[in-house]
Amino acid sequence: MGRGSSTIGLLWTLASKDLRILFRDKAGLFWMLGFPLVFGLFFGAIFSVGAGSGGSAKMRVAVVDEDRGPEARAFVKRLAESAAVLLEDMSEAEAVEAVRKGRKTAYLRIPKGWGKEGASFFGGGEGPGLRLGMDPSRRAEEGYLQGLIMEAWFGGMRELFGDPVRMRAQLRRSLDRIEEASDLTIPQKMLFRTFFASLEKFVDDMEGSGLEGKGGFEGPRLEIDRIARTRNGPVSAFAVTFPQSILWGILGCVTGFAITLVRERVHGTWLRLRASPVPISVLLAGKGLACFLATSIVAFFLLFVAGVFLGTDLGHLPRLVAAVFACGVCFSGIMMLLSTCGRTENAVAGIGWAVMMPMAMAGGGMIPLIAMPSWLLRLSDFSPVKWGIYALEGAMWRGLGWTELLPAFGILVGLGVLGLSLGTYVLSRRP
Amino acid sequence: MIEVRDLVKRFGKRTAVDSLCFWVEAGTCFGLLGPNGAGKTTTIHMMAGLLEPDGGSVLLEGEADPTRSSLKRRIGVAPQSVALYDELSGKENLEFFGRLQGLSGNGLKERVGSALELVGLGERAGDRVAGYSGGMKRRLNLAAALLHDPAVLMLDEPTAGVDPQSRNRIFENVEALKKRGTTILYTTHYLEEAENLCDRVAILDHGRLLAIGTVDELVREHGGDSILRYVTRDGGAREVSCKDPLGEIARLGREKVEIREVQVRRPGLESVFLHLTGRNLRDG
Ligand SMILES: Nc1ncnc2c1ncn2[C@@H]1O[C@H](COP(=O)(O)OP(=O)(O)O)[C@@H](O)[C@H]1O
Ligand SMILES: [Mg+2]
Repeated sequence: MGRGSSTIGLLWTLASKDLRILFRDKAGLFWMLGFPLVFGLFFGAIFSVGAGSGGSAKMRVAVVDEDRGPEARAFVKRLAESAAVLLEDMSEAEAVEAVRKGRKTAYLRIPKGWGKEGASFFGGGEGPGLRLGMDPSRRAEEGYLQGLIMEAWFGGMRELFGDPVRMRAQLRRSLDRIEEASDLTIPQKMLFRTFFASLEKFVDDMEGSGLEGKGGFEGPRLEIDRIARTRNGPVSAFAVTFPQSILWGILGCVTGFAITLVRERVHGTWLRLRASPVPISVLLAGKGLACFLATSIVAFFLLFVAGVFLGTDLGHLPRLVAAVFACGVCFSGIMMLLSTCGRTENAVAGIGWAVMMPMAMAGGGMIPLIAMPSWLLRLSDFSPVKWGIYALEGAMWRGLGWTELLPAFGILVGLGVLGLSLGTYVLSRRP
Repeated sequence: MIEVRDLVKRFGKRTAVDSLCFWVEAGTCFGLLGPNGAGKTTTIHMMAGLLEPDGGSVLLEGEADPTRSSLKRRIGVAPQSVALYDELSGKENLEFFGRLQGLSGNGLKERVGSALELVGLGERAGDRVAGYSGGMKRRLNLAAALLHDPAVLMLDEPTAGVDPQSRNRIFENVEALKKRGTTILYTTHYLEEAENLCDRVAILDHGRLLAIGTVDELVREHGGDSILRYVTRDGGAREVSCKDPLGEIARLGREKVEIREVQVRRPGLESVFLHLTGRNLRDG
């Protein structure tokens, strides 16, 4: 580049400019960090509690009800209503033995005191959780069963969502519970307090904004895990909701950047960039790098919250970092492609969400992969969001090794490279 | 030194620039004058390598390909629409564009500082551009173009929508740059600006070159007569148009016409344009 400015230096100059602009934009920041955080915390908190029913293939499940309370009984009754499961009461020792021998697909243990915690959004995260004991090889059934459990439990939650007044009341109750909770540290309390306060504000906004109609929170059935106790030990609900929230944050970055690329054109700064001695390939690569860095920052921030504040087990860190980077590459490519789809900021934002919402919905952004019915799971293969979440989950708690993760990484990076090259090709040919 | 030969640009059926030829001597200020849509911006963009011409050639500083980065480094462009990042401060904007031009370290700091001083934005350098007035943005837009001390500076309507103070400041800046030996290409649809700032002027309309030369040459050739208005002792006002108003006054004196008041209006570029196109420039 001459005069002492290397290509790397130029890329950094370009990317840091974009990041600076991005993090100064409050609205963009909300979609990149605020909403995903709220999402991860909210659903993680909700699904830290449990419920159950519905399905098709009969699974024999042993139930170990140590709680014996009315809530637990009601929960088991609802689960039993499902055509998919056949329940039988057992002691824990019997149940474990039955599963080991293969006489039962799984056992479900409801610990003492679970019913008391189960009545609210909050509490299950720290209190005793359900345990699903299962043969590790029966992963598909495990997911299905979790889905059933969540679906029934979620029945009540869905009503709550349709009704902001009830939801707010519930939020209040949860907030009170947090204040009373003795097993929470002060920082945790503060975190939840801020979270619920912003959620109340969000509910207010939601009522007037027509956000519900855009599919922000509505969507199909919302069933999520929490109960699951895999063979590797407990998985917290946050380990399920935070990979989802990371993908939401990444999608926020993608829209943000696709829009800035168009904005550069509309506002004429692109002209000035083109008038500089920097080749267009470097200019576009700078955009890609900025988007990649933004997605990484968002992902690591959310993982930090999940790991440090919520005590979520982040699993295998090198693989997790690799998964984050693979997501970054994939969605930077999608961003580049997206920015070619319109000539105005509104057009790109509109097209962006129109493409990414279904992608997120089908890919496990709302219904976690583990709770998906099999037809949706098959459909989700076409969504890059699925592969992103799958890679993150794989590293965090699915216990996948490098080789098992390789297909997901390959798809993500492949899509990213494809998007980057196509997008760059189109953009560099535009006058 | 700039040489433009038979430059052509078409957008669909519309020919935005039609076989344009002109040359600009190094260290002078050249004005591209014409109403909106005349093709000034299109011409500048082709010269700066931002737009591919459909025909013709541009020779800048002896080089033929304006898309080459070695040449781009010697060109500064201040686009017609203010091209700055609103979310960044004035200083951050300049630092960013300076880095793209290959400046760094102390050199960058100095250049940014002096560019800010030059356009009178030193005190507001730390504020975000979003809070600047239209005139301040224009001045920063100019500063961003001259950061790297280019040999050729292209200013596309640098005074559009600007308050009188900012406008004067920009005039001063252009004068100073001229003194330093910068070759300046200046587009405008304000005739007075071209008259005051430019050594030579090209008049453009519908993409075609109508006339070219120094302001004096153009006025002499195409401006038509001067208008002489005088009021006689008895209060009667007359208006005559003539080539040589001083001679006319002398003639009136010889004829013993007693004159109380005289007013001479020499033709300017306004009348040049009127003569060439039959339209007023301002009417578009
Ligand atoms: N990108 C473009 N696409 C189509 N037409 C254009 C484009 N840019 C300019 N034009 C047309 O070319 C002509 C010259 O435009 P322009 O160079 O911007 O004029 P000026 O700068 O003198 O006002 C106008 O008629 C304008 O509508
Ligand atoms: Mg113009």
